[in-house]
Amino acid sequence: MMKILIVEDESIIALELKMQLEHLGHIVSGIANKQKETLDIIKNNRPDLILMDIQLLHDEDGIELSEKINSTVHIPVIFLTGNIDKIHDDIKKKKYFQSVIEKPVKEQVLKAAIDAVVLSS
Amino acid sequence: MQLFVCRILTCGAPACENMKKLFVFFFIIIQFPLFLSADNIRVHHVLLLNSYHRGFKWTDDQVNSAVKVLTKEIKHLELYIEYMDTKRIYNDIYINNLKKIFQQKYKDEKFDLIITTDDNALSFVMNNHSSLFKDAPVSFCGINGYDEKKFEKFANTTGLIEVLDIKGTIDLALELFPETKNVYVIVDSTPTGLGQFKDINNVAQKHFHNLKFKYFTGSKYSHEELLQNLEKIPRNSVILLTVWLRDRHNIYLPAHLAGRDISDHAPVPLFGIIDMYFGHGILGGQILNSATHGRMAAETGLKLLGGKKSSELPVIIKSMNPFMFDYEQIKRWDIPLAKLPKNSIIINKRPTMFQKYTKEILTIAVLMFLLVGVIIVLSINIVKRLRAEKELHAVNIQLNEKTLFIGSMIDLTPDIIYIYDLNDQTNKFANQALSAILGFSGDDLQSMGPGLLKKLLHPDDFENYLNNIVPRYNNLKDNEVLEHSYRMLHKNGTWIWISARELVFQRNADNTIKQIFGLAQDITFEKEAADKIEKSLKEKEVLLKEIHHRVKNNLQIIISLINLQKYKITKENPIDIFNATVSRVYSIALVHEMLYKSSNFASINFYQYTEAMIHELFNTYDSRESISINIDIDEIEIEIQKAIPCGIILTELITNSLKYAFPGDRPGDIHIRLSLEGDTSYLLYYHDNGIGIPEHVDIDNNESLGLKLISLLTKQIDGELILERNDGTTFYINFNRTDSEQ
Repeated sequence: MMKILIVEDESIIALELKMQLEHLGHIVSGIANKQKETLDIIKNNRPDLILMDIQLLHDEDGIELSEKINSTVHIPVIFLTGNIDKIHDDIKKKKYFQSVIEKPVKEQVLKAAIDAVVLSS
Repeated sequence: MQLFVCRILTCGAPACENMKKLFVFFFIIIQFPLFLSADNIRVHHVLLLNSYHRGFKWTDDQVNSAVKVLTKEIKHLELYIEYMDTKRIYNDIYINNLKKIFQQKYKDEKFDLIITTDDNALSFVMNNHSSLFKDAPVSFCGINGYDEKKFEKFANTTGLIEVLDIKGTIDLALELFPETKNVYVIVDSTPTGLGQFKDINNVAQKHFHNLKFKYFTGSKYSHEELLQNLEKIPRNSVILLTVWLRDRHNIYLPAHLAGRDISDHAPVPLFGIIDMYFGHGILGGQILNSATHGRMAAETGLKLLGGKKSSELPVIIKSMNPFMFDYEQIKRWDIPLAKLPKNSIIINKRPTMFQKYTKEILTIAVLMFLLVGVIIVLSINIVKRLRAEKELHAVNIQLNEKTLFIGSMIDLTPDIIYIYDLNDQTNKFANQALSAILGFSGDDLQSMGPGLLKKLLHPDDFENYLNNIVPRYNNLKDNEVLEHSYRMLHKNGTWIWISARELVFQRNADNTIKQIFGLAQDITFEKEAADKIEKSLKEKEVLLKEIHHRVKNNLQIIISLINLQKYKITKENPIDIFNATVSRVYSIALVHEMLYKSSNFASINFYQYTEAMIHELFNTYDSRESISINIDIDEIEIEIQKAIPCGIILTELITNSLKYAFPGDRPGDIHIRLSLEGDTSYLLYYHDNGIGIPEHVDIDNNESLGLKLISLLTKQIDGELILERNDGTTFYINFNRTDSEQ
């Protein structure tokens, strides 16, 4: 069981992720759609893993945000993207990088990705 | 040849060696035949012995014609000419002395040939043939008395006898003057004259019985008496002048003077038989001609030299005298030339003007010809020039028309046509379009001087002109068009976009460009239109990306919505779940439909959206007429970012009311209001007068997906949600107009 933070600006998608994670037996520590909110949640209730949408609203970038988070603490990140072709290979070299999942997210795929994190930790 | 040898000997330089050899070679080649023939050189020694003296015309003519033949035919001739002068002196002592002189002179000489003229010379040779002349072959001429027997004694000798052709001459006179009845004979009493008198008498008696022969003899008449008597001669007469050297006073009468006198006094034509008087008054005759004798003697001599024996060459005793005439006399007696015998010799034939002045006439003719040629050439030139002028005139007219045509074209062209000088950086020419496009006149540009472009070009474009265009000028080929565009200042201060097409007009001596010829078009309108299009295109591209992103995003949202329902499905409610899903998808689809219809694809009219959504939901839930909806929404445009969450929120609120607020036949009112709160936020007021949401239901944390969505989406649009449960249900949702900054 892992404590997972969802960073996703579309609340409906976030809600579905939350339900999927809970269905998989994990705890969702929070749903954030902005940088500030994300950092606040991490500060108050540090998650074991972050599900991070790469394309956030308000011109925010999930990769930048992950970078910022991991500059102080180490939290592994599974990235979510609607356009997997646009993912730069550089991100895969990051220490916090776990995997990239294409949206819409299938529960099995999500499970495998999180299992991989559990195994590696 | 001597010259060659000298040159060869003096040419000592080594470089000349080959040349020297060559010359020597040619020298030998050329000399060779001479060496060979040296033994064969046979010099013919010929003696021409004359009875009379030099200066005596008779003798001179003989000598001249004989010498002419000899020198022509004999290659190596040694010619001795002697004059015995026996006309002047003739006696035994003189002849004896001559013999001595000859003996002395020609002791060692062996003549190959001796030619004699007249009797005395032949006699002298024959008398001393062996002793003086070593029996050399003799060819004679001018012999009077021919005695066959006497000549038989002369070995190795032949020639021709002097025959007076009296009959031939009288025949000729009759031929020319058929009326002739009398022949007057003038003959002196010298031995020659007496001989001739005898001969004429014989001929007259033998051949001319019909003619009367009368004689003026030297024994009866003095010269003056002769002349006086001649004048009395009847017209049907001719005169035969034989020899008249001495008259009865024994006065010597030089032939040329006497002949002329006689001719002048004679009323009838004068004929002759010896050439003494020929040319001096005689019309003509078959005349004993000394030149003919000289020539024939020489020709016979040549045959003897050639090896012929004298026996093979019989003495010629017949007349060889040619017909000879004096042209002056022919004219005097008016005799047509056609009547003269063929091969006649005519002397004194006065040359015609043409013959006399051949050179001058020819020169004049040539000059005239040239002159005519010049005149023709000049005339042709004038004609050509006139034609050329005419053509030029036509060309000028054409040119004027063309100039006018080009001028009109230049002035009517809407584009600026200009010539710009790169050397002094000034404009040399511009058409009227200049002022139409830029407001400036040609004079305005002139007054700007060399700084013209810096003043007129847009600063950015001037830099580009200096950095990119000027270097390209230097590489520009003839006929290569350089195109560039720039902004130029209008007189009114605005910028005009110009598109220029330029060509080389003139080059400097170093081939760099002096002047360019250009055509400048005002493309401001096109440029602005293009900018507009480009901007629009960029916007559309952004929009397309945005829409694509949204569509994808919304499809993901839809998938999530459906997936969220998955957890709620029970055996009792599948249609409800399905309807709820359809409504939610419809709310999203409606946003897109309205966005598509909007002018800017960026926002939707929320009133229209609400109306359409209500209509759809009433249909879906088959709502009764007892439920009324009151919409109170200002003309509000909700931007796309918030349109879908707002749409779903509205859908969930209405769905909630329709499903739960009015159970049974309970009538109901629903009130929806969206209003602007201040400048920055909206307030969505939603109220139904239904049974109300039970108190235990926590809006932020409950199992109802609909309420959960309302709560989450409000948060997503940075809104605040307040729920009131008095008198039905009231939602207040306050949210920012635009995306709030973080």
